[in-house]
Amino acid sequence: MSVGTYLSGTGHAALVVWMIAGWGMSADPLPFEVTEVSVVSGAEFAALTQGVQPDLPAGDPVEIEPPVIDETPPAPIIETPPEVTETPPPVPAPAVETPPEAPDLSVPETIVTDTPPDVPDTPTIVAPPPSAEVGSSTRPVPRPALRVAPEIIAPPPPDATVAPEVAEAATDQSDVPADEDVPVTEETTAPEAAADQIVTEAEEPAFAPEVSSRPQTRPQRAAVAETPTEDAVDPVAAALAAAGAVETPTPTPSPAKGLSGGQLSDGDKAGFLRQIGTCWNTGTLSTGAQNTIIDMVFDMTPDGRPVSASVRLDGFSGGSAADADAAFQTARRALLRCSGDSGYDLPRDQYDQWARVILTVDPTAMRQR
Amino acid sequence: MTDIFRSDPPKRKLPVEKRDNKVSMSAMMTKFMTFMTAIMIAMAAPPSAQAQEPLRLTLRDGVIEALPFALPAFQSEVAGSEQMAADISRVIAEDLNGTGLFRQIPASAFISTPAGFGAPIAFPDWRAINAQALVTGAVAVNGSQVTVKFRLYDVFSGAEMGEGLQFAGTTDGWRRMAHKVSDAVYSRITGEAGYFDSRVVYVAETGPKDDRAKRLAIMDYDGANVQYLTDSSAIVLAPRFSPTGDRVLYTSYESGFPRINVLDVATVGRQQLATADGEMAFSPRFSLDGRQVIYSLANGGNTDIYRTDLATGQSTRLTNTPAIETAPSFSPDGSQIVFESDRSGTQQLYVMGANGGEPQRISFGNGRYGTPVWSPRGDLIAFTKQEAGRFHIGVMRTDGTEERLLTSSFLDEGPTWAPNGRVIMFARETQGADGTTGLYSVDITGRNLRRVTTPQGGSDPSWGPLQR
Repeated sequence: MSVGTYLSGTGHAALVVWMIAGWGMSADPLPFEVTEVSVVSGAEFAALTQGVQPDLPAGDPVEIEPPVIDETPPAPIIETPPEVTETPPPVPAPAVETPPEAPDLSVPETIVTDTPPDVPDTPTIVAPPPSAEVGSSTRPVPRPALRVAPEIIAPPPPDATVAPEVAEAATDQSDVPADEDVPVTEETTAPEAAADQIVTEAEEPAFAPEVSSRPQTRPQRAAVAETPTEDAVDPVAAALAAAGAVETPTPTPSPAKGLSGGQLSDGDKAGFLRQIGTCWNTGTLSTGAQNTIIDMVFDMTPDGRPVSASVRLDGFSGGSAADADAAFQTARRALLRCSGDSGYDLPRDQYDQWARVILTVDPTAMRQR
Repeated sequence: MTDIFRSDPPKRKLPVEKRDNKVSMSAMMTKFMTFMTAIMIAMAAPPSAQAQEPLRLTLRDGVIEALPFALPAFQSEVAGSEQMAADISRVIAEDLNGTGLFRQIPASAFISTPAGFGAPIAFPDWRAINAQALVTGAVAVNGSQVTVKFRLYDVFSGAEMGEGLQFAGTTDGWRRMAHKVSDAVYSRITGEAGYFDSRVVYVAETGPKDDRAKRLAIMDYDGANVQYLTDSSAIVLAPRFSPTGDRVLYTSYESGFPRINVLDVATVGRQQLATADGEMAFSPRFSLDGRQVIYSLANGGNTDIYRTDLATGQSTRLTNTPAIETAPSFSPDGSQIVFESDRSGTQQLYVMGANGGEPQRISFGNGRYGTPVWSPRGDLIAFTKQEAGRFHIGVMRTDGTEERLLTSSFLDEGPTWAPNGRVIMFARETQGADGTTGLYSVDITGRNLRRVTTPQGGSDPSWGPLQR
């Protein structure tokens, strides 16, 4: 056995002896306080603890996830039908009370005579000569407004003086190409205070005004593109070419617009409808007439004006006869009003294409605006 | 073909057969294409060949604008009638302008005026100023009697719209005669009945918000001729005209509890629907024949809809749920009732039969719906909607579709229909302690929102029928 073994055994033996002997350790208990308590019953404890808030955990409360809301409208709730014939208590006859005061509420009677008033028939008016008077009628001219500049400014330069004689001889205008005489096509615009859509007060974000404003001017529409007719492949030739029976021909231009024998283009039709539409006011239509689709027939003069006496109602659907008549009168008024003095803008050399027109007037789309 | 098959194997003859068939097909195709070409050439023939074929077009796009009309001052046919003629002309112009459907052309723009009521009309002069309708008339006052006659012309067709009409009455009723002329003009141009010769019963309000005096008042549709039916000693609410306009239902707090009274407009005599102690009756409305009343009755914290026969006093309970059901309104044919209920948890609109039964919910939008009123035409239901802190007056079809909000403000409520079902009147209250109440009207398209001029504030309007 080595020396180390002896030393280890001796040390362990000494440790065991020290732990058994307890040298250096106090056996006295630690001091503590003693409090007298009293015993309470369960009912008394419950009475003491009633209304006491429980201790809440420290920190921010945990957020509760919002419930998932079903956006779809719920189905109607079927509930117990009420008892319809419940025996009611007998109700005594109502007692007549004395009125507090009796103002004169009598309504003056009005007698309506069904027969028209005794007036002579309206004589025929001879149409005045073409409206030289109308064109030169004295329309009110706004007064020139006084405008005063806030600051004094230098006077404007004198106007350019006109030479008494022309310095150079005038150019011979006979060489000017004739295409400068092409008339400028007028753009069709809606009259003022017109709108193609209704925006209610509820749809406007601003607060409700005291008086609603007039409808805005109808936005100007882009010109309707005409259906390309030139350089189109002849469908007959194409069909024959596809069949392999004949040679494939080169594209043949169709008859130019405006030439006799050509079809009325979609652009001409759209322009015609657009011109009528600018005068077709559905605002005064009754709600019944707004749901009535009518067909009206009329003849046209070669200068593009409808023959007033030929305009007639050809049929209707979706409303009563009165509604159809109201819709017809409104459409007829628009047709006559918008023809103007120069007539509708239709190709005159294709008169036989539009000598008679069947116009279907459908206000249902306008009702939704 | 039989010989071929007999002498040669079919598989070998097949190419010959195919070749023959191909030649045949080519010839047929050529003939077919020639035929088709002929047809297509015929279709593309010169226009002279089809000159009798009319052009067919469909018009769908128009404009919505006020129709300009000219109304020269009515002629005075008897000396001393000038003022009356001017007043009647003014009221007619106000009626037509007030609809928002018409726009009067000022007299300063006239090129000429008719020399007399029967004088010829120079239509070009009226076309030149873009007048689409022309109203001419004459007035004659003889003592206390007044006669008004008028004619209406379609300027652009140069023809009269209908025949002339003549009204006779007392000078006290000159406004009614003016309204009748307006009704006739309106009806002939729009195709639907007018509403100018009608009256409105409402609650006239005076004083501050927290101490407001309320009493029943009746007026012309335009706010003229206001007369009071009750004093302000008790709070009155929700007056409703009878279908004939001779009686008014309303809720009174005279006894401290809401009770339903029936008031005779001519005599101002009142009757009260008997209600048991502790019950509260409110929100009444006449049936189509005016013999029955539907209303809400609150008993023990529960509110249901009842119907009472005015002659016998017999009552019938129409709903029986723990929810609050109120604001009933008959359909024009009397077969259905629309009302509001919170049985689904929120205030919504329901339709049930006139004798009760299972109701059908018709409103499904966000917010709360209330005070439904069936249109006289039967096609729409007007209502009050509360959503996101604002109130709206709206209309929807009777099945709940096509809901459309017409107004928006701090507080809009209580819609009532014009006799022709084209215009809605309602009450609007402004915000704040100094907020005031007033009556407004709006077209069912949402256009032409206007305030109805009343001497004081007003609420709970009920539009009566056209007068006879």
